[in-house]
Amino acid sequence: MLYNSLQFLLFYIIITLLYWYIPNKNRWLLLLLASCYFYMSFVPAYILILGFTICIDYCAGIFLEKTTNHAAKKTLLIISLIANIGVLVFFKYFNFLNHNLDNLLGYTAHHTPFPFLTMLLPIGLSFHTFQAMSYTIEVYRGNYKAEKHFGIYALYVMFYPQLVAGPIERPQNILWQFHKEQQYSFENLKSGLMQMAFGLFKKVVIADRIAQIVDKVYADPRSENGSTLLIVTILYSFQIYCDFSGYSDIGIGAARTMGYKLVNNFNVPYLSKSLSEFWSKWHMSLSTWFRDYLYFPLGGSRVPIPRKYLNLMIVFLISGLWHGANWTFVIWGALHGALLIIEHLKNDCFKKYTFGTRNNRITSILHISGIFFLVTFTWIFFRSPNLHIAKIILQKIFSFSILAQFNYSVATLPLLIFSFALIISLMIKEYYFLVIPTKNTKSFYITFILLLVSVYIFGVFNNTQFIYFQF
Amino acid sequence: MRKVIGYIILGICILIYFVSSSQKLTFKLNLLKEQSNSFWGSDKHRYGDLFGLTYLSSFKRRSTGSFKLPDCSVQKKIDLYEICDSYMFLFFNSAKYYCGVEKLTQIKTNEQETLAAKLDTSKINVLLLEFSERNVRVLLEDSDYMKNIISENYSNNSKSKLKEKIKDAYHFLFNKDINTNLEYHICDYAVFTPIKEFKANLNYKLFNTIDKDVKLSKSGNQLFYAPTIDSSKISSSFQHVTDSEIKVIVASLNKIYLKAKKLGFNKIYLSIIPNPVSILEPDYNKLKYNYLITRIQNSQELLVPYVDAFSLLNAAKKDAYSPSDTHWTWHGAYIWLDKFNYDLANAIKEKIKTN
Repeated sequence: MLYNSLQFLLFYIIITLLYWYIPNKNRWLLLLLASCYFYMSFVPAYILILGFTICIDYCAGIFLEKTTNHAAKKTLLIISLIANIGVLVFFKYFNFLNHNLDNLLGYTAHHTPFPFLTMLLPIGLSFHTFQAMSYTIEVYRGNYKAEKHFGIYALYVMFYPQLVAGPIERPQNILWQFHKEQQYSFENLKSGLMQMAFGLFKKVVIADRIAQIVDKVYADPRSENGSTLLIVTILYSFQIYCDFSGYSDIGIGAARTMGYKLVNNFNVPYLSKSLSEFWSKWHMSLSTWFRDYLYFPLGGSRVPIPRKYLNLMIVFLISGLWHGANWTFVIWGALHGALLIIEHLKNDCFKKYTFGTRNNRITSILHISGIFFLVTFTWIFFRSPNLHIAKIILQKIFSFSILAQFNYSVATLPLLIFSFALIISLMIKEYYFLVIPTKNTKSFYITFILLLVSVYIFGVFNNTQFIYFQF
Repeated sequence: MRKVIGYIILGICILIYFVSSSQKLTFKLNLLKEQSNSFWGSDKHRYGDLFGLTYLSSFKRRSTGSFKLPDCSVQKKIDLYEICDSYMFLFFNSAKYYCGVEKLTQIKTNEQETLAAKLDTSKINVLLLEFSERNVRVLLEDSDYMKNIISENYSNNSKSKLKEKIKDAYHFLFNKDINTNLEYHICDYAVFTPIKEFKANLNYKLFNTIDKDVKLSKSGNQLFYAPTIDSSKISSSFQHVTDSEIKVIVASLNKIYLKAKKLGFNKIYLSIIPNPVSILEPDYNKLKYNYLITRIQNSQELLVPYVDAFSLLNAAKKDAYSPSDTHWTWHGAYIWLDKFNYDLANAIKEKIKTN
């Protein structure tokens, strides 16, 4: 069930209205059943995988709390992590590993002894696995008490507004909210609906329209020139932002209309002046997950400098692999890791020799543009289906064909102007208001209706999946 | 008051969701809407199914032409079974269209129906295998459904009925077509057509974009279904088809033919209806037509006699296809039917002779 579908619209209205009409004690059950149905609408059988990890982690949580023996606690945590990571590795990385093994054995004229899996990847597997793992880790660390109510714990993993593409929640933020009686608030309804409408606008008006251009060019980049590839890659930077942040907005908004507050996932990342700032504003729930559960346990920055850089590289390599079982994602992660190391090196040097950078408007614009182009450069690997295609695109962009005229058969001039006008307007809007204010009811109604009308008139409705669903 | 409005909205939403989950209910309601000319009637197919995808007002043309029922004086001796798609069941859904046919049974391939019937041996049992060109490779290259389309064991027991009921309940709960059905029930009303046309024309004029499933002809006067053009798709008239693939298709057809013969069918015919683009623009955007139909029909190994729709429609060209539909016009349909009725009449004459 895609957020940009009529099925979701009806489903959302029915569940939200029912939620407010039934007694509080039954709400968790309604939300759990609704979330099961939501997940099963993709591939019904995959609910069993989710059920398996929920049972393991629920039991692990209970026993973790009861056990005082440190070694036993550690064993329980390891069992839970193996179950979660095992499912993830099996469904997401088995074919990737098998394919690479096959390539390696190819040098000795042998083939992999394991068959390749033909099943589809369970939707949003990486998201709910990470959310489940954060629960057991927090219980293990003693930061959160184990959830006794099985239904509420299942809801924590399956809550439909954030089930398939995040934000990846922590038990501290969301579990207590399921126990609390939510009171209907018109303010919450207004702000939730507005966030949903704007998320839908970002998805169907900006991301999906840009996707029509990007998909055409990336389907056959060999026949395009450097300037077309560069402009289209810049457009892709905004496509992925609008697609993913649009999804997060709809999810956060839907939860808000029922009184729940989910964590924010984006904070205008393309206006960052450094790569560290970019990563504190892009997919924040994943960045903080890696920070808290991988970077800090590895020693973080409180270790000798070479070890700190190694830690950074490990985190970004795993982050790349988290996104997909393909070398393109590994390279994407490695590039971000390397660029961050360079940035840290630069900052350490400046600190040592007390050089300073002047903070004025021009340097800010230069920094923002520089970071944007670096991030855009890395998206080439993220978007390309394989390393060979990525190489072709890079060769073309860094050749004289960058001076050739844009290929207007992939997008007309009005479409390009419209796309960039939308992007600039979006950046200005996000700079001033991350979420559209809804205090004034009259202006809420006007803005809301205008948004819906423009979604209808300029939206592309072809049941396009969200990019991050594949992860 | 606010609570009452909420309950009304909830009731309406549940009702729409329920109806959209059921294919049968949706089909019945659509039939009513398509027959209605009032504001709540459906325009989705009224002006052609491709118009219903694009809503470009320049293609808003009602299909015209009257249909003459066959003038044949032979006795009604035939039970006609058709394994077919929308080319048949949208146009010829009753026995009255066919010469000498008393009973018509249509097995719809798009709904994955199967043929499991007891044949009346006192009749001439005729089986027509009809495919549109875009479905030939999908259905005949490697499809388990097609391998078992003719069931030799006719059963009507309670076990299979229970199985069917469970299957129906599953499809109701997780209906893959629910979004299409919801669109019919929420947005498909004649009163909304001008708004849809406004959106389509604006997007076409400003950005040169139309629905991704539709492509315009070179002249801009004809709409084509995109999967019949996109050479990366198996349904395309322009995807290269190897000789060994043709052999596989012919072998599948022969298997069905032999199975049907064994079941007791007296006559079996094959007819493959060409994609509009194969007839009207076989050199679309400098692409190369794969001549799928003629290669199958000309295969030495093919056992099934065929009604050559390709030659018939190729002779009629533009008159055979509607500019805003994936199907033929009534004129095109009539040309084909005339030839098929001739074959049916001959089958009866042959039977009388042998008796």
